[in-house]
Amino acid sequence: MTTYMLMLNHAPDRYDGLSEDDYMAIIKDYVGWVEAMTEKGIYKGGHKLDDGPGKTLTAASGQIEVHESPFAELPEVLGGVMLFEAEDEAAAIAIAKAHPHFKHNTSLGLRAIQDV
Amino acid sequence: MEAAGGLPVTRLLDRIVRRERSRLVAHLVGRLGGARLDLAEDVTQEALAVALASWPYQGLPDNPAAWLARVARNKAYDRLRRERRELPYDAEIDKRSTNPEIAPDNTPDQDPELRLIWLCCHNSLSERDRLALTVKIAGGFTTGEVAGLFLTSQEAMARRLTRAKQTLRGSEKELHETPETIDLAARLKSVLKVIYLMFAMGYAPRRGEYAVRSDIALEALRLARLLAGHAPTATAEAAALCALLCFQASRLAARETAQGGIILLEFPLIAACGTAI
Repeated sequence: MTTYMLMLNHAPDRYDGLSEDDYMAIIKDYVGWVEAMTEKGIYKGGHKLDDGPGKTLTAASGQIEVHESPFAELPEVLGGVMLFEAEDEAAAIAIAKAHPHFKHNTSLGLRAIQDV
Repeated sequence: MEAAGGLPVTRLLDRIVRRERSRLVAHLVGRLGGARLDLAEDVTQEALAVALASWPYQGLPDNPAAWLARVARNKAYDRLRRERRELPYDAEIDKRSTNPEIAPDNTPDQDPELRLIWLCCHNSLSERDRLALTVKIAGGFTTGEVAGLFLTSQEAMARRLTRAKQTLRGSEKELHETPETIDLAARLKSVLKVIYLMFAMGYAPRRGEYAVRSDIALEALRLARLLAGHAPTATAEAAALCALLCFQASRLAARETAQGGIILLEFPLIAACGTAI
């Protein structure tokens, strides 16, 4: 089994101004998915990232500079991450394809956690 | 996907949000006093927002109610600590409080949720405003749900609720009332109507995905029984409401299929009609 990380992207204003019912419908899909994966024993946890641009650190001319990350200009932001286990990449892709994220958003990143 | 109690997780989430919204506000008001109704509503809303942001990633906590109570209480205390420098704080109110995790459901004047209903059924409001505001705050419903109940648009209901809250805030003095000082008899009529409306929201929801929301109906029945079972609220009207709700609630289990669909009266499963109530 390999652990994979889902990086769930969404448009910066995706969740602004939703009615409570619409918002709840989305939340239920995500919570339902996590509960189902947990029941199968392959969910390894996840985190919502703080809403906000965060910082970008770059090494330039011998020193590390801290920048405000561009936010408003970005087509998508990283909303949160989730870890789960899958047999191989094909299985992980199948799981990712079935994620309710695609019902409400258009892209996510999938990376394997390196075994050590 | 089944979760605790055999409920699908989506339905469980609906119940938690509605139930805990009213319960948290009631317990915080019981702890901090009626003058802090705004604060109680704010921190409850904030706690729910935190929950709905993090649960999609972390899953439901083992005890969602305790999780929400802890977050809401911490937010309330943070806010009070910040405010205390500016506003005099009545430490006495804190002392006679109840523990928010323990719901003492014995008598009408001790039950935090019933206390909140008394408080919201305020004389300074018109009856329609009084009912709408109380169903919203003490019932834990959304503005949209209350609008559906009163057959009006969500925008109109939002304006009505805002005005009603301003009026309530204008009578700040009365918000310091306790059930001991409230004229229970004068408000009982409205309180009974509120409980009936709450029951109706559970027995026959007008909108949303469920044919029946029995948790809401049973909570209303609990409140009606509290009123009918204790002086000075044990009036003939309270007993009548209690009897009516018991009668209707006996059919709750026979109104809904396992998939959440409605069973009409022509085809009730007689055996499923409850005997426990």
